[in-house]
Amino acid sequence: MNNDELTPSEKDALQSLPKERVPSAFLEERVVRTLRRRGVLRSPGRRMIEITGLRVAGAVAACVAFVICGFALGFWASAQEGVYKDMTTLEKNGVPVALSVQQAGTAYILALENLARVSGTTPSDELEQGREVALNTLYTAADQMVHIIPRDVLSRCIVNAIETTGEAGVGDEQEGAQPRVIQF
Amino acid sequence: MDEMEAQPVIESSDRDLAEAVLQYGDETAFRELYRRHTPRLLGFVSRLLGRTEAEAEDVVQDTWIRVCQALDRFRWESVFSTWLLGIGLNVVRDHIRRDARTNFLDIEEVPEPPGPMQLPEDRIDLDRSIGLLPDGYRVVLVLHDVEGMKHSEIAEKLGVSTGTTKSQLFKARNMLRALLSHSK
Repeated sequence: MNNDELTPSEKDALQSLPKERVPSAFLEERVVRTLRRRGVLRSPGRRMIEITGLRVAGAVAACVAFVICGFALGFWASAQEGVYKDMTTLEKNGVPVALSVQQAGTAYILALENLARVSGTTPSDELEQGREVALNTLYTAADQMVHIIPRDVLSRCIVNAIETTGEAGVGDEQEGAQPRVIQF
Repeated sequence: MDEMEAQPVIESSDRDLAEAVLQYGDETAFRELYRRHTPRLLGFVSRLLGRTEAEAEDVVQDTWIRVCQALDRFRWESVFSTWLLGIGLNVVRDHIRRDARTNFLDIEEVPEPPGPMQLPEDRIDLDRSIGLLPDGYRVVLVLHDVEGMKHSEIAEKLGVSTGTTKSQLFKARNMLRALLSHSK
């Protein structure tokens, strides 16, 4: 054996050593970051965009679409504002309506007081008519309340009680019929 | 039916990728080039360096930086990978010089030749023993016996005479045999 030369097995062993090694996951990022910092590489987000006719047309179309969308949005927003104004008007009008209901209720109570006051001197037919009108009014008012607020238990009880007793001539009323309005 | 056949994926050449990096700083092209060649580069510099994985990765990073800086001067008269490994070798030598662990040509004490290499069953042991060689011996042995380079090429790359590389190789082989017989 000449020590100056490799034996075939030595040669094979040395030449068959693996030539590649897998780098760590962070090395690539480290190298790229360093090259970016040195200005060799540009990050993908800052790559120069070549200006072509197609790209210009696309940009113009995008601008037009943007303006139209803005216009439509403004139009829609102004329409919403109109609805809002209507709603506030209704709310404002709600105060006199409630007031008129209160005034009608007060008049109704006063009429009943008058009826009670004259009950000792008035003939029984007139008293019966007064009672029937008062019950009808109470029933109609409660019925209106049930229409306005279906979950109002007290109004529904009044309606049910009057209907159950058959007072005020309400037993023959058809379902779905328009509520009667009593004019004072 | 021809349209139904799968089209072969056209892989960008090293030159295309390198030009994209050079002209546009194209990061994607660089990553492709990096992924294509780094496992081989890392295997090469790791064995030449004979140090830790982290140091080898530092050398790989420095190599890629030098490659990018010198890319405009590369004439494409050799394949890219050969040029890359050549730069890697220079970076390894710079690293060894800076490290100053040993002087490249100063090692004179070589153990007596113990006979043929006691080749280990495991390649890792052989690699480890190569790593234990003094830097100058290891570089010549790796370039000649592992990478298959000729003395004239090694002498040119290292800037020394072929007599020097032959002498270094002789000593390196003897020391490797001694290390392997000792480890047995």
